[in-house]
Amino acid sequence: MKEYHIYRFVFSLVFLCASIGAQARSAGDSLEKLMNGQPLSEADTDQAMQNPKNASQVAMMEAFNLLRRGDLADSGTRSLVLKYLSYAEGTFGDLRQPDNFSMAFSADADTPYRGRPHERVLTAVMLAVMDMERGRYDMALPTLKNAEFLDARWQSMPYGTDAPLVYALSLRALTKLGSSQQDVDRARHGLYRSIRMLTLQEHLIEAANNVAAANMRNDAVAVKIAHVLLATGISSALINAADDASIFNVITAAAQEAGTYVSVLEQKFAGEYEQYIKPSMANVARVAQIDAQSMANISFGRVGLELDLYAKEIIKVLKARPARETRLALMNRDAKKMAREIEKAVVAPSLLLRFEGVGPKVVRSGEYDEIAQIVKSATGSVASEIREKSIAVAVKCGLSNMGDSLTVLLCDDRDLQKGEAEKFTALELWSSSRKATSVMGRRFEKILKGRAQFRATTESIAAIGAVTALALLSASSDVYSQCRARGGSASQCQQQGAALAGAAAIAAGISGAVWLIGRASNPEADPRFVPSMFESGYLLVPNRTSR
Amino acid sequence: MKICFSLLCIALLFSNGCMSIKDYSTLYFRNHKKIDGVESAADLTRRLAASKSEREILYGDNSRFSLLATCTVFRNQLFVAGMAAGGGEDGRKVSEMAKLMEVAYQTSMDDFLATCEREINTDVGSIFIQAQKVFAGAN
Repeated sequence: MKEYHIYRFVFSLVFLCASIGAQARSAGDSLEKLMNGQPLSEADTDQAMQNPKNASQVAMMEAFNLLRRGDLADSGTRSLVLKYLSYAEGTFGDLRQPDNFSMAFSADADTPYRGRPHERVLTAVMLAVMDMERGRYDMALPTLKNAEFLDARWQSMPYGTDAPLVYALSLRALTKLGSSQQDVDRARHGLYRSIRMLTLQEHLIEAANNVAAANMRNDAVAVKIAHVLLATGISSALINAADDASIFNVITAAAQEAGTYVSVLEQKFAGEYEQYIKPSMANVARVAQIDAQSMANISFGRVGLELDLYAKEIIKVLKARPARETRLALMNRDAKKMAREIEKAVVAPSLLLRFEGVGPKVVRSGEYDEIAQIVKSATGSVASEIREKSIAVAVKCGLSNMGDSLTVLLCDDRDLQKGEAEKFTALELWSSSRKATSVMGRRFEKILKGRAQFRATTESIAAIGAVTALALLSASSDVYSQCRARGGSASQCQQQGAALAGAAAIAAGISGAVWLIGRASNPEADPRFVPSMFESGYLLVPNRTSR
Repeated sequence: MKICFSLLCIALLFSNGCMSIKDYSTLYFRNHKKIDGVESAADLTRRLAASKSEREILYGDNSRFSLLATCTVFRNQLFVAGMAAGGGEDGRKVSEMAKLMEVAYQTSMDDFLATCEREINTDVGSIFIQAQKVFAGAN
């Protein structure tokens, strides 16, 4: 009898191990198929989603695999796409609390996957597109609102993303729903300003860096901080400045916005402050024979004046070089022109969208696999720009996939059919590679411990740039809350918070990676990603004349 | 034995008050390690060469820029010397000049230039400027 129980126990154990092994193999097979772009059956997908760590990733992979290769004429397939996109989008909700912000880039593979910023935004955008395609603009609108703030800069700021596609689609949804003029105007402003940001940001920062490099007091602590903060403010000002602001207005606004968070640097980023700013100030204090706190007070107290001076110097240099000033003004004019063309296209009875290419990959690197390296798509561009190309399409209303690309014709009249191929100018209003390698348009090189690591652009200001962008981003919501608590108006406080969020983007761009790599306590980086994301999202407008 | 003696001499030179004004004036040019708060001579040269056109717009003609460049290097010399200054009469003189210069440099361009013009015309200042010429010539 006793032997019987032992046999039974051993048999059960073997059976259990075999079952677990088979399940693991099955889950592994499913993941491999999904990674290779093969859609699964609904049952297999649901099975693969049983593991909560990967459920969101599986849902996104299946949805995008179906969008590429599924039979989209079949309403069942479309329902499945909606189901998985909705599921994934629903899991992004727990990223909205600032405490969870470190999960924006997933510190390691043990945390439940919530997508990388570009995957989250594109998932929400595709969900909205699916809803718009079936005429449910009412459902698409909140999803688009969500998409805006699923970007790395996701706090409750006036404008949450620099992806023009989000605002373009919002504008269509708002118009079709007959929403208030105020809401429509907000989307219009977001559209133009995100285009302005992509068009001008790098050029303005380059102009600012050139002036910074010429400064003869570069080792004055206040000057160093001003250089970083002004560059920071440029990003914010490009998004927040009025639509009719000139280039000089933007630069002046950048100085004002940058000045609003000088004190936050020291309060919120004690680690970085101790690591980078304090050593420089300590030496200065030693030579000047004053205590470190007095030195800090003197330096921080002067940043506002240095910011003002710095902005004036940039303007002086631009004015002395009319060709460059004119070029920037023309770029701004072109951004406006493009925004108007898109506005016209999105409110038309039918709107063509095209998604194509394969998004970026994530690979591990570093001695301990501690770095997640994002490898841009072969067809992608990481530059801040809006690429355009000419394409000819003939499609009927709805969704159609061919050759790994997806074409969507959103129609008021669902019976509309375009018989002959027409030529369009395709404007790339979404770039996964750019979004995956940037925070508010500023590029980073790798991700370590869930934090983006940025390349230094000028040695003299690299130190302060090491203040992590994401930490700044998370602080921006605190600035907003504190400002409101002090009785500031919503718009005033939003501006202050937005300045900080924008600051993060630029601080990011000038920081060095070496220090943070040195600090890593060698956890393996999170290599998960969704390989079937589209690389580019184009909005098609009638053939454009040359810009 | 000879090497050990040389190292001992250098150690003594840099750690006590035996350094002369001339020794202090050349420390900046002989230093090859990164010191927080001051740009190395090589980095400064590279940066200024790369930003020539902006400098001309910002700082005007050559004579003004020439003074600025002299003052910037002078401040850097004093900064490194001030970090190293120990006891002794010369060390105290250098330390006091570095202090005044650094406060002015951190405050504003006007204060910086005014202090610089005052200090380069002192005996100590002229030795530092002489060192600039020697090292500028050597490079």
